[in-house]
Amino acid sequence: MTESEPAPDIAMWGASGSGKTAFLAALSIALNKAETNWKLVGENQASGAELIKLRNRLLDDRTFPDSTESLTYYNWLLIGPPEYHRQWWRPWRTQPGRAPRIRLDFLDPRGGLYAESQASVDKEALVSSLVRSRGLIYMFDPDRESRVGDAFKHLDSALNEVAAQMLAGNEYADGKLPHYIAVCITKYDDPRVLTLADRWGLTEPDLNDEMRIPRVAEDRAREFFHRLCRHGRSHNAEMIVDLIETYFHKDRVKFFVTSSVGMYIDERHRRFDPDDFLNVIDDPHRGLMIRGPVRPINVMEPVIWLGGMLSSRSMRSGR
Amino acid sequence: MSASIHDLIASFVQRLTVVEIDVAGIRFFEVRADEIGTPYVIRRAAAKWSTLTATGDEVADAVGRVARELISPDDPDPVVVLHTAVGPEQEASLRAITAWCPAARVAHPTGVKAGDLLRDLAAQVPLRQSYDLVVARERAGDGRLELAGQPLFGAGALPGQDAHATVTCTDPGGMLLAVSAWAGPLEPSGLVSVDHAPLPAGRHTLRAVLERPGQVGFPGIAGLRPHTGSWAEVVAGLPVRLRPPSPRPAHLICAIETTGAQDELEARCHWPAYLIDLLAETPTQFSIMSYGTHVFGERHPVHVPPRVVLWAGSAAQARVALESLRPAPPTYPNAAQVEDVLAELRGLLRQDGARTALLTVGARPPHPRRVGRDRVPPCPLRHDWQMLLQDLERRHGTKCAAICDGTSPVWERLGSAALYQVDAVDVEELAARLDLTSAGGSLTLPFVS
Amino acid sequence: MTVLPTAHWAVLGKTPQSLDDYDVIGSSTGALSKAEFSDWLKSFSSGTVEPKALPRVAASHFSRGGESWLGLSLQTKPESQDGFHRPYTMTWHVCLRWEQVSKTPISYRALYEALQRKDFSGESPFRLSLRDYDPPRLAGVANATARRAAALLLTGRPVCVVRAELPMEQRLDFLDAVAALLPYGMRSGLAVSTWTNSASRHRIRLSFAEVAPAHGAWELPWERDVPHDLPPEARLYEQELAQYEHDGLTRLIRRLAALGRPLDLDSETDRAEALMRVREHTAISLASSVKQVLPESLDSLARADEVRLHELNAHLSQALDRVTDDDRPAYRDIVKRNLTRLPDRLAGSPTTETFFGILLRLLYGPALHRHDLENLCLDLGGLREVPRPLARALKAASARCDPLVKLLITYLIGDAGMRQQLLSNMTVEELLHLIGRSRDATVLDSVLRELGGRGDRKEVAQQLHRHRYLVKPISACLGDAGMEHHRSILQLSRGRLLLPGDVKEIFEALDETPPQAFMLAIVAESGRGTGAALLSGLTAHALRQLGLEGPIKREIEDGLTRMTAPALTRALRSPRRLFGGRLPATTSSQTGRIRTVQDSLRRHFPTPLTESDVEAALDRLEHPAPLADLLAIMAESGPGTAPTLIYWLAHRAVAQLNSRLTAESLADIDQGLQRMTGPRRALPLVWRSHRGQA
Ligand SMILES: Nc1nc2c(ncn2[C@@H]2O[C@H](COP(=O)(O)OP(=O)(O)O)[C@@H](O)[C@H]2O)c(=O)[nH]1
Ligand SMILES: [Mg+2]
Repeated sequence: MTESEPAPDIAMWGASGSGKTAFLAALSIALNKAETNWKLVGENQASGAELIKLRNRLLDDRTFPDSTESLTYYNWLLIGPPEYHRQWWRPWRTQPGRAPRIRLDFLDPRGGLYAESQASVDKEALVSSLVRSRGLIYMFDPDRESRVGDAFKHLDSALNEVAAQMLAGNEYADGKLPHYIAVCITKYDDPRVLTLADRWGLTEPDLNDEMRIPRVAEDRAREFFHRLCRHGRSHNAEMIVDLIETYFHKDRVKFFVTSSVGMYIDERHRRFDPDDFLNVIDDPHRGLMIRGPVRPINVMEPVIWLGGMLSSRSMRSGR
Repeated sequence: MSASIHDLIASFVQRLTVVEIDVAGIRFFEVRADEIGTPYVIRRAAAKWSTLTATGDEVADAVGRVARELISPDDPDPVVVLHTAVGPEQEASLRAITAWCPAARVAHPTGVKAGDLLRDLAAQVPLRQSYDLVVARERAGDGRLELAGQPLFGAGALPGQDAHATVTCTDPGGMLLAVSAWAGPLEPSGLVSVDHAPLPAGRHTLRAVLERPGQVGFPGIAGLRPHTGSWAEVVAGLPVRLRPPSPRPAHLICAIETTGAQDELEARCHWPAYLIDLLAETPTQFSIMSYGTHVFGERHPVHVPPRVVLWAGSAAQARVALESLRPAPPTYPNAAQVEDVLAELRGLLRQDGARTALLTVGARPPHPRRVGRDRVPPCPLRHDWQMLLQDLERRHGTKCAAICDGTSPVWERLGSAALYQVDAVDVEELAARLDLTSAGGSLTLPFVS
Repeated sequence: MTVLPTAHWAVLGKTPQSLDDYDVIGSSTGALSKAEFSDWLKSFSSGTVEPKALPRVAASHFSRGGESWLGLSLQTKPESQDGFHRPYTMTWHVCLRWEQVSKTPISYRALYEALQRKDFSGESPFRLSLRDYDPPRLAGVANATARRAAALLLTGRPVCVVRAELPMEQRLDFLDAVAALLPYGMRSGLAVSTWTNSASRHRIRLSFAEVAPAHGAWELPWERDVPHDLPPEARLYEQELAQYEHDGLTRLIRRLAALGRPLDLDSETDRAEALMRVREHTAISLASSVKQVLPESLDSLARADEVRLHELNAHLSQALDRVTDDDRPAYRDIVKRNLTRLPDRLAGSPTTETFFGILLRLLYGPALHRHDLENLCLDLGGLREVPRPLARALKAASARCDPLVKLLITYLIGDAGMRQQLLSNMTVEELLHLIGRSRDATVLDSVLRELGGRGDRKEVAQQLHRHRYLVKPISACLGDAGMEHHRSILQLSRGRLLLPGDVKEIFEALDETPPQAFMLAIVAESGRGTGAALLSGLTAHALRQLGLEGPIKREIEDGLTRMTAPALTRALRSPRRLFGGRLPATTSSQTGRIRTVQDSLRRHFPTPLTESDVEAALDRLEHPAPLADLLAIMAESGPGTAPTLIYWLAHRAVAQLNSRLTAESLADIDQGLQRMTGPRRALPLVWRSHRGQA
């Protein structure tokens, strides 16, 4: 992918407080943590500054980002490790090749924007960005769902709007939106979420992980999502999976169980403790505080998945 | 006839239905019992023939309708029809009732009015519940006052019977004679009457007469008049003890949360100080502990244990210790180191026979042992406050009271002996509940030893 | 606190523990609905706040149902948290109808202060007590960054001020100052904010921010003069603003505040209007400032206060480029009244020279014109003579003047050497051109002298021919006194007496009937036998002048041929008719007139006319003789009458120029006449004697 190609936009999608901004803030931390050698940099000054600000918010201030007030754009560049090539005439030497780059143009709306009925400047910008984008990160906050239960309403109204613009023409003959969508269950670290996963027998410790943090296996994420929807406050929530799968190609939907801040691990034992993993605690000065190190869970994965899908697709189709 | 109705009144389960059909019309009566078993009569329906339509069938219809509404034929309770006049309407009515309720007993008395008859009979039936005189007595173990019943009339007692009870009047102003009814052996079902008897202090043998169900008289007492105050107040005003407690040494431990602003801390110290002053003259030792909030979020755990400001000191020392407390900003908002205080106490308390009382004053509940849905992190030392508390109570008989300026339900447990909000504390009562003083108030009920 | 307009209001925020986004949670009723407020406030969001950006003040605009609104909102530090424990802010918004705001200017700061005193409860609108618009204060705040920001806004792109560590009030004042540097009406479409988040796509035009947004906004570092490649519209505006400081700036701001007509920063014409308005103000204010400074300069000149004069020179020179011609009369007046003498002490001072240089430009503009020199003599008349510094200033100024003025300046300052150098450096063409434009005999003389000195006669002749022998310029400048100059020209062009061919050529070069002086000059310079050429030349011009064509023209030409034929050629004469009085002029058209005169001639004289008839007829013409009448006589004249006519014409001309002719000239004319017509007749030139004394 060369830089001159139009960037695949990735739009964040989810109700207010579902954790979109926190997710973005955790992204570069996740990339740093994982020894993948991927780096996240700002494509322009404003985005770069915002990237640092978001990251510092989690790392230094140990709190979550402020509530998003207006449509925000982040133009970031994900730079991978250079691939080494071997040249046939000098097979004993490797040549550093070009580092893969994925452009990530994130759109972080205030969550209520999707549900707003009347047209507004922001709303138009949002829908048009969604129409242009090919990657979506859909944030599902199980806690909010159990408290308010409006995920279906949000998703449905936004999908309707986007579909009305995109599917009206003949371009997408199969009647499905062309986006890749990463459905992220957020706040996995929260006791209310982790406990449910545990209770439903969906967690298993990752044996590669010396801390033994319980994970929801990749192939069970969809089931977890489905059960969380059923567990939610609204009956409609049960239909969310169907809704997603009617609008999007089933093979372009992937489920992730994520946490922007991860679990608290006592440094002395360096082991997951089912009695004490609370990483987000109330701050004495009102607000929340991140208690221990930020160890994002499945934050990088959806982005890299989307980035990979979009860039490989764009190479194939020449979009 | 009246005899059998009398029996029915004495024995019905839920109600007795009596239908009166006479020259003028038809009336439905019911006899029921209130919660203390006293029967009473009510008229459920009445119609004059003149208001019903002329023909017999229509009368039957109308009566049948009323009967279906008022009587259920499967009731175990009996239905009695008093048929005192003859005529087409009367016949039609009777037909209708017996058709609906074949088990109805029909009688043809003359010269009676069913309403009067039933009321007379109800005053003569035996008691359905036993009646006791409410008295106070000392509990076997610790001598604390408790309420008890002195039996007066057993179930089945007939109006006109009398009974005697010997009680002590402890208050020179007289005492309250309260009669309660008991439906079973465990629970009083309600008060029959409460009267104030202006008797001098001392022993009295009272004669009680069952005047009719629901009415007990004390004919020997001049000036007896119904008590107008609320019974709940009477019960609440029951002193803890009649006599001052035996001067056994006591140990009051005040654990005070110092988190918050200066004025919050002052408010928290106010009541312990008051309590200490109150107990200054008693053989009580005082300990003052202060505690704060845990520190989270530091890379290396910071643990500041609760501070023992004074251990087993005098009242004066305790006052000084209280004065020395300084507020500290919270390091965590939703819970405090209460569990650490309990753990500390476990190490400090000796089994020396002293009565121990723990007064916890704070805003925040203890940390749980493990994280739960309320998202409070567990105690970093993993103390389990519930187990610790149980332990204290079991091993030292510790009485626990709490004064809280928070709302967590956990306080109910921490203040099992007495729980107050910080702005509404009755210190005398608190001291008494903690077994540190006797109650001051006088006993208005008869006392039996 | 004079202004008390009614304001509507809204509060944007959340309620404690809410799980929703920001929304309008309270508003006044009656003008804008909750949804409208929500629309407004959300579309002008400054972006997600950072704690350090609070409190934040933003101003924005809105229009609904044909009504425009100006609003200001204050976003305060969080006091509560939403359902996700996120602290949330509250935004307190007040707004006024533009209609109201445009009447009396209101600053953002005043709105902000009024807002702070308000209680946003209930649902009725409230009155704001607003501090007066304070131009001196705004002028005090308007630093270079503010000027640049204002200029950059005129490019139509948003401006983002970065690297400013200022408290919020100061930032707000800055925004106010920038707005104050634009016509007030621009506030109707200007959204500003004390802090924006550049990652959000906001619609704030002017704000402070951490970094500039990625697209389209100018990044303006605070108080750092980063060389911008300013587009012309911004550069010009900035230059314009740069001239103002202190009180001047206050006055400009006051003036801009009066321009309440809504202007749209998105519209190029509206943006251009800003520049126009400021320039207008500049012109007005400079003009008045020169009026103040100039007398002081003149005063310090008179007092020989060189230092002060130097200072004031600097001041005046700033105004130079902006003074319009309309202002100059006033300045000239000031100078006329105040300039009396130049103290000797200043006579050699360069400062004085500079002053005069500036003065010349102030009074007459960048380049001096001929009439300026005339005025100069009047305006600086108080000096009585041209002092050295002025002379030097004039000399310096002459570099920017055309040759004529240059030449005149040399006369004015009496620099013969310079003059000579000037002239000798000019080509013939240029010299002749100079004469063409000059109305000055001195110039004429100098040039003629120079031309006379030129070696290349042929070139001179050719050029003179091309310049029509300078007939017009000479007669224009000398009028009747120009004969000698005409003669000089004729001499320069031929260098000998004129031959008939020369006369013909000369008449052909002229484009209209030559003046009498020129005719006499030809006469005086003519050689033998040139009479016919003269007459035919004159006739041709007369015909052309009267626009005569056809038979009448032919008749006249025939008459001319007859006249110039030898007298011996006798034609058969028609019988003479009764003579009666003057020739009546009955028809208006020239042809008609000629015909009438012809008729009467025929009635009175046997035609063709003889010499004596011609003479008699000419004598009877009214005075001055209409051309048509002369032509009529010519048409009726017989052979050999030409000399009579020529003499008559010369006689008439001499009579007209009488007082301007010297005796020598008269003699020359006389001789010329003789050469032309032959010696047969001599003109009784009785008036000759009068001349010598003039
Ligand atoms: N425990 C936990 N809480 C989270 C996480 N991400 C977000 N939150 C909470 O959700 C709130 C809203 O997140 P935010 O990113 O602002 O949501 P947005 O409105 O979708 O952008 C934050 O303030 C946190 O309290 C997470 O990974 N774990
Ligand atoms: Mg957000």
